[in-house]
Amino acid sequence: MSDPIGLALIILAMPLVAALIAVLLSGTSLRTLANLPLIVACGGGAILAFTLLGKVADASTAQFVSDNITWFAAGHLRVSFTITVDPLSAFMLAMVTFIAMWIAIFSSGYMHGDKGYPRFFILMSLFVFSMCGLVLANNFLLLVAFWEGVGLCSYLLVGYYYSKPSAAAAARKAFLITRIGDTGLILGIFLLWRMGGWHTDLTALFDHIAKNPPDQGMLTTACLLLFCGAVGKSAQFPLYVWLPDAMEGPTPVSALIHAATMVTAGVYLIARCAPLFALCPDAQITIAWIGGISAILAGFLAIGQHDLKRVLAYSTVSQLGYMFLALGTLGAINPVFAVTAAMFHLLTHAFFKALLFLSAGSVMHAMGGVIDMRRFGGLRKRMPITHITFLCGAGALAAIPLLSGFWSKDLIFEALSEASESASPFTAGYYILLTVAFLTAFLTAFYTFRAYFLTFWGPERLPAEAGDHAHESPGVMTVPLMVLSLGALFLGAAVEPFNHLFSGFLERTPSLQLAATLAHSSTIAQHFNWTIAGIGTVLVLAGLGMAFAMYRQGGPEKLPWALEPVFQASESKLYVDDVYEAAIVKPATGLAFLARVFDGFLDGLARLISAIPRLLGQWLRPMQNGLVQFYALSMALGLAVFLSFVLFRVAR
Amino acid sequence: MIVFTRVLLLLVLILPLASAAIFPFFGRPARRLAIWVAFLHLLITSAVVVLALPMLNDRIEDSGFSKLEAAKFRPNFVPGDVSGSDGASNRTTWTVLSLAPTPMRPGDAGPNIQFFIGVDGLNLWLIALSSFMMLPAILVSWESIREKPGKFYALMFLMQGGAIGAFLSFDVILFYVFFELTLIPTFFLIGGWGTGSGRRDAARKFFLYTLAGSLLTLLGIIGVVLTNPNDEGMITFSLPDLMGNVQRNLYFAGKAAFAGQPAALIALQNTQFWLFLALMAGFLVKVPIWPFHTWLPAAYSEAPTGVTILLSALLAKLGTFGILRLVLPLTPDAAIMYGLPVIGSLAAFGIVYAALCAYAEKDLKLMIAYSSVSHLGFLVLALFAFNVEGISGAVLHMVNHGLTTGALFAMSGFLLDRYKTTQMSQYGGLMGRFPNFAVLAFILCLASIGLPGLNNFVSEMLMLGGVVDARNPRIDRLGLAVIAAIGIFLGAWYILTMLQRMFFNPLKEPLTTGTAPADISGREFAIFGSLAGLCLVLGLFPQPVLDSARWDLNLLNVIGNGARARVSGIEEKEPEKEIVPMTIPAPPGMKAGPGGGPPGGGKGGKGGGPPVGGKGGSPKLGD
Amino acid sequence: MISLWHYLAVAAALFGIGLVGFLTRRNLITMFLCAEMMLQAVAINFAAFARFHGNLQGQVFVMFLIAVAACEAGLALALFLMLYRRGKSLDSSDWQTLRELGVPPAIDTQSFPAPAPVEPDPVLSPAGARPALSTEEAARV
Repeated sequence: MSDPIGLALIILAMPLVAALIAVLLSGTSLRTLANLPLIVACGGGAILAFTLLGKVADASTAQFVSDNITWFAAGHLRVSFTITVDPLSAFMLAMVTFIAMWIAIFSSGYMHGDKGYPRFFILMSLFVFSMCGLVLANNFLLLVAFWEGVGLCSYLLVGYYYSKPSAAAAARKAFLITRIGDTGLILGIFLLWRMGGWHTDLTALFDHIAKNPPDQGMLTTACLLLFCGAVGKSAQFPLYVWLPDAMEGPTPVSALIHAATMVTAGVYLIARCAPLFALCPDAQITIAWIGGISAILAGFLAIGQHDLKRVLAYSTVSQLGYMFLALGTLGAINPVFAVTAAMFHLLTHAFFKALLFLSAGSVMHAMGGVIDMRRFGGLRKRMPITHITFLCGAGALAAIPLLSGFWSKDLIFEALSEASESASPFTAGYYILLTVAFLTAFLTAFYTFRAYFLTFWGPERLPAEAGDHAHESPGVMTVPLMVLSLGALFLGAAVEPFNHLFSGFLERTPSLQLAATLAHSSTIAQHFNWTIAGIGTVLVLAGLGMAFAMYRQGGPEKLPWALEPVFQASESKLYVDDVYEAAIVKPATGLAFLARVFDGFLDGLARLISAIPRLLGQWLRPMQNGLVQFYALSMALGLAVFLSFVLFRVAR
Repeated sequence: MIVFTRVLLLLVLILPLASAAIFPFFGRPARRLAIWVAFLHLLITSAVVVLALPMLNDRIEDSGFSKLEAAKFRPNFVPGDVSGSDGASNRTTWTVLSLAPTPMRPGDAGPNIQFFIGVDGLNLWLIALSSFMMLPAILVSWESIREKPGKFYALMFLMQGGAIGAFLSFDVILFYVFFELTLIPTFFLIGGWGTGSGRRDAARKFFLYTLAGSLLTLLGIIGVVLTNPNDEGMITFSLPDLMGNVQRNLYFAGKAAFAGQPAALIALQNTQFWLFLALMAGFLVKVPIWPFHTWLPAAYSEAPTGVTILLSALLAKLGTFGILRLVLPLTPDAAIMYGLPVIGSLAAFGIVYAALCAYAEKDLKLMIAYSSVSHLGFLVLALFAFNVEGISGAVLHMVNHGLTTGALFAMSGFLLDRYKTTQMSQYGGLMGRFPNFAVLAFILCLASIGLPGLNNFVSEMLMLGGVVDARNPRIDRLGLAVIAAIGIFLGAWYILTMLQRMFFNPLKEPLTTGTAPADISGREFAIFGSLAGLCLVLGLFPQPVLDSARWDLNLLNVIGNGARARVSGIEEKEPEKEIVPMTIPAPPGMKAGPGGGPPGGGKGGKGGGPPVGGKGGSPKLGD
Repeated sequence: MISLWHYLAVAAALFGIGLVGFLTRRNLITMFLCAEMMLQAVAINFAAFARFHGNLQGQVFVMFLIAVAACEAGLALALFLMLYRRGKSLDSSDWQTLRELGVPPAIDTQSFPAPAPVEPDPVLSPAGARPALSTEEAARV
């Protein structure tokens, strides 16, 4: 009970039990209580997870590995149920359960009266279970299992409103596109298994690879395949297209799964596998480039969207790109620092993005399901609490100095600038990426406050659907908002910049230290770089100012003619979806139909072959003319031929 | 006790055949009787499984494969065992037909075609599957078969009996007889009770296609028997003895080849090539492998649902099981040389091809039929990787695929019972229409696309590992692995598209007469619930299946490694350095056998290679 | 001295006559007799070989042959009788209905030559009173 593994197992088990209880409740008259198990499980889980944080911080060894219980084993392939608790996973566990608890409370209000109420909470519980399993898993295939588990829950929750065609399409798209990445992930795992001494346990695999460095090319391939999985799950370029569509799900789902937790699984995976990536500079710079491209591309796409949730979705892609940027510097600078930067941004992002989504959900709740910013505006008066919390989240997201986002983004800038001055062969690339990161910061501030002004400022406009419930949400929804806004405001400042609590905690993770050893990089002093912070601040304020100048009267949006093409390009999502549709989906479908037609042809071929005996028979049929003499004659002649053959050929 | 087990095993085979004999005399009550018989059969089979498991798990691995005589299958519970009650001889005295020139004493080894059945790790779970799948097959036919039910169930039992017989056989001719026996009931079931207008054509196509293939297989079997006599020139039809002969011949030829006289080995390998082709012909059609699959969509879609379940769950397994039981042990060198490059390429192409066809298909039953082709291609690919991971994955996947594909067909039967059509375009929003059914259908569909925690994931991972680890010469194993992985992805593609069209979206259903169709009934819940439950159990605890087959898998692996060494011309070498014995503590889930040592090093590791590569392969066989 | 060759020659001649007869004649009974003749040729061969090889196996076969031929004769003649009752003809080409569907029947282009007039057999007048014949008997005579 008191040892960390036991604790972690309890945390893991609670949401599963919650799901089972909710299943039992769903058939009874108590179905409206289906939210309670999840809230209790997450709340209890969060308390235990914080205990666990303390235990891990205090323990003499920073990693605890559970016993192996074989899942399946044959030949070299041995997969076991095994979990590990180290600072990295403990931190993720605490973050997931804590955020999930508040989102669960929020959803009890948000989903109230929905006919699929128990279903929603069953799936949410299963999601929390899978997410906890994902962060705890110490075996690659077990990790894949939970990885797919969160994907499944995401699929079912995006398709929660199943009779809505757009939701159904979005659900399938989300699952399939992440599954492209997962296919790569699985192949990468098997490659690692081959070269890593037939291990699938993470710790054993890292140790083996650290001791016997394999062929660089193969390792890079394997790492890039792992990264494929991360790209799919974390919605990075070029697989980001599913995330904006996934906003078809209920808003708490977007907040929990598509902002705070599941989409960060890719970041977590790379952080977890830091020792592998530390060995391949090529893979690192690829990660950094993908992260950079996603960050600026999604930032650009966010500025032209009219759907509030889509703005936030693109912003999530963009912020995840930041995290990958930080991870991309993993071997160039001290991996511990790179991972800390990424994970710190992950933490603050979880808070402010969950907050923003929940606030958007609160707006949506009040507007009767309408989320198009062109149809409402000036909600500041009607929804004061939501307004303030949204502002807190927006400020943190835009990285206004001293708020959470500022500190975490600053760490990423610093990591990039360190990398551009390091001994890495790709310093020029890192330099360009630093510029990209700065530009993205400007875009972030702009689109965030565009959304904020359009929603809350200016004259009040309400859609018809809002009806008479266009008022502030009930307490069960606003309290989580307030708690999360506290996090968005102060968490960043509280845990890292002044006391290095966060980095000091993560630093002890054995796998990160192993990565540091492998990368041969010296520890860098964690200092606050005034130049970088200054540039960042100026850009953020510029973006904010521009948004203020353009949107302070609120909606509807009036664009200066110079910017109109830019916004149009952004609104049309740069036609990426259409290009994918035309270049991949259509040809694949065409190929499928071609194959089906060809199959008919193959069948025809088989029929042709089967027709040969019939044709032969047709040809020989007249022989059967019913005349006994003819038969006798042919028999006699045949016998004569046969006998002469025997006599003159064989007998000789 | 041991006699009791033999009687039980005999009952497993006799009960369906006897039912087939008496069922035609029943009319309407046949279905109720059928379900009781199936239950009884399941009970008996469970008893066999329970009794066999400790026996199979405790087999001592060290005893194996270091002698010529030992590199062969060892069936247990053999009825008519010569040694009476202790059951150690693993051979039978029940000769059906003796080809010996002079009368022999009973029990002597000789050119006898025998009634030689038994269980080992490879067929135990397939028998369990055959027994279990009869229940959904009967329950699905419950309402839909109203015409001559007695004859229908009789033929179903005959089909089951044939499949079980083929799984149990350890005599090559007996295997062939049962293999062919399944054709007859299937032909009449498809032709007589089929649902579509093309049923007669489908039945005829199925029959002729499979017969054409399996006649070549018979030729191959006879060829193997004739070309592999023992030391005294005496032929044998007993599979274990035949394996011993094959191994001995190859061993001496291989030894000569390493010493610089390859003529004998080359001659043997050339013979093996032709025998391999002949043996494979029937199995290629039965599995089926592209491009010999065209009988399958027609047969699966025209057959009544219950028959389709048995077809996909049992008969398709006969093909893969034949490869496992006959092709790999009897023509190992050819399986290494041509298995992956030729058959594997066809299978890999078929995986993608059938998946694409499945996507383009508009009929639910046909879609599942094509998905079955795709999955089985993967299975054959893994079989020919010829290593422990691949084969164990394949053995497990045979069971898993039987469950999930059978379940998917049962799903189509659910809709067919209500709406008389399986055109996917006619359905939509079923999640709201049949919420309870939808939950189970989702579980089964997700099992089919290999979602972790459900059964197919485990076997697919093992098979993928087998392909990645395949060290067969002349193949690009990573290329094959990539294709297999693409196949897994495509599987998700068409299944999810089907789910989106049929279960999501606004409600759309074909017109029905009378009352609105009800959600899942108790009978149907029994079908889908038990299938989904088994999928979950096998997904989380697959190890008992693998454990019980470990001995046999290692045996096949030893044969494979010997063949690999002969083919690549490398004499067996020291254990590869890259393989480290696993040092993790014995997991409680795995029973440490008397093989000794840590389970990892002693068992898992052994299967994979080091001790095998070092001493288990053929050079040691002559000691 | 009669050697084996003499026997074989007789048998071959018999077989040849039988074969030619079987192929050229169309009367079922004649054909049957020809077939029997071939059979007997074989029997002669058997007997001759048995004699000259000095064992009895051939003789035993001949016994069988005779038995079989007897059965065959019984069956065949019964069948011919049935056929005659149906078709009032013993011409084998009248019975070609077992040909494949769609194959045109073989029709004689030349008709049979008219049967030669047969003189009635001379009849001895019976001694004594002539019994009164029934009408049927009178017709037959």
